[in-house]
Amino acid sequence: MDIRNKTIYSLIFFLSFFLIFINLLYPQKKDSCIECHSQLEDYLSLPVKEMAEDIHRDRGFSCFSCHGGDPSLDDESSMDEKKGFLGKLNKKKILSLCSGCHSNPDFVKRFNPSLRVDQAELYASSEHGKLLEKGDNKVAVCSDCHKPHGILPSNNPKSSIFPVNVPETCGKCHSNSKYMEEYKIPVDQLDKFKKSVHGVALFEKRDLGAPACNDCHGNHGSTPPQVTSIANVCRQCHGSAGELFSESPHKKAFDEMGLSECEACHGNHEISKPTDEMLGTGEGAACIQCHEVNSRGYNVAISMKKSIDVLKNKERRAKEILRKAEKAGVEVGEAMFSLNEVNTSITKSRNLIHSLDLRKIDEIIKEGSTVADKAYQDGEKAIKEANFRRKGLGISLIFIILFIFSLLLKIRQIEKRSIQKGK
Amino acid sequence: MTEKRRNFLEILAKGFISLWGVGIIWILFSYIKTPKRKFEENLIKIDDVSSIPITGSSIYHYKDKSIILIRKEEKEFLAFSAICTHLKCILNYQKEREVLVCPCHAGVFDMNGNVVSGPPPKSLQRYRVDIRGNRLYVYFD
Repeated sequence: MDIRNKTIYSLIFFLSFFLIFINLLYPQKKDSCIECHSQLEDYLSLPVKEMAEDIHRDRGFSCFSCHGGDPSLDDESSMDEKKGFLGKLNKKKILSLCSGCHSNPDFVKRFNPSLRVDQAELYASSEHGKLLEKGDNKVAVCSDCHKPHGILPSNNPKSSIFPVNVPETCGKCHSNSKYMEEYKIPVDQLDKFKKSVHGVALFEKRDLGAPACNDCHGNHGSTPPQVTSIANVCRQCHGSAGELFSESPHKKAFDEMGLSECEACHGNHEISKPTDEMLGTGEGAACIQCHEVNSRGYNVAISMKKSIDVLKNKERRAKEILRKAEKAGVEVGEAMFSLNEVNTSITKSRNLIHSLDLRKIDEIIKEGSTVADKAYQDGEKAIKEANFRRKGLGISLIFIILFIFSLLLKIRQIEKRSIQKGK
Repeated sequence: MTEKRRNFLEILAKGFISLWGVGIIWILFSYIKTPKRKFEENLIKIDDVSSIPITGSSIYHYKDKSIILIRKEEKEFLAFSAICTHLKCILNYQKEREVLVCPCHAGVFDMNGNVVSGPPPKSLQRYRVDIRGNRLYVYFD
């Protein structure tokens, strides 16, 4: 054995000795809960499997932290009530156990200084909390949304409270008609939400900024927003439309009629992407829900729809001619870009509808129309240029063909002359 | 075949071969020039940046892109996509707040392109800017 191998074997020997020594000095704590439950049938071993990735386990908590007992004992005395064993926890106990740590700022700070500690307080103000207080044992508590075992941080895509998973988490109860029967509230919210513009953004486009249930209803303090607060909830994101609405005559009328602002026209869980058909007096128009034929509001609705339609048609017409010119090979990039300005005017005027201010809407429409007309004229010029080029190409082709033909004639003439000379 | 006819066909053939040769040289030359053309396709070159005042902004269009160029300091420029990620409206720069604001639904973006408020679902595309003398380059890579 050479010196190099000797060194390696010595190092391995000393390293093994060192590890054994460390293990003797700091032995792993015994956890009989895990040892026994991992060998039991499915539903009793499932918590052990789920706890493997639980955020609490990573921070040194284990079964006994919530269920009590003495995990250092091997027999059933480990589950003695005298040793603080709680067994399966009821909903109220779950709440008090979780809040025991999570409402204690000094305790929470040791693990995550930025974590809020007002969850229990908010929960008490929620519909769930109020019903639990009344003795309803079916309502959701901490473990129903966060899972009892295998709790993951909210930014983990596998977490039950990760934005994309929140609707399904709420839907576990709220879409279950049998479970919700006694509460007499609808159970179609999840299905409707999936079809809504927000649901499509969240589930299909994976847009994590799109609102899930908790963004409108709150999370720990979840409550259905009341008529007077729906508009404020929507304004969290759609502030500009809200401001315009507040300045409009609709605001006073809606307040007097007790109508919720945004929801009256856009709906709640099934908010579809607003279309121009919602405006005006046609089928599917929201305006005719309240405004009678030939009333002032009815006529304003017609005017607003007409203005937007005019600009949309101008944009379409300009786009068509520019595309035609582009296909014909003429550079129309600048004019195409100017259509972005037209799109801006259309979108701006659609938002301005919330103000019901015809003067403001017409100003924007006029701005857009000027740009759309200019783009159309550019398109016309480009088409003329394309036609001119096409004609030029045609004429050149005729000349080329004539040239080839005359060359052939010349060859034939030379051939004929040489035959005649030969004769 | 007579000599006169042969001479005529020879001149004709030489003419066509010369034209073909010119074509081949032109193609080869364009191949040599290709990297430069590709490079130029990925950037906007602004010859005179003095046209943009300090704390001012300007919008440029190139191919399918619209870019808003913001001059923060004498030699500090920022370039973002000028199109709002919500409904594709053209953004405005508000120098007092140092934000980009969408005129359609008041979506607000900060000077990193991140959404500050409003309905835009995602951040703005930010472009690399390089200034050499009085000339500015905005890269799309």
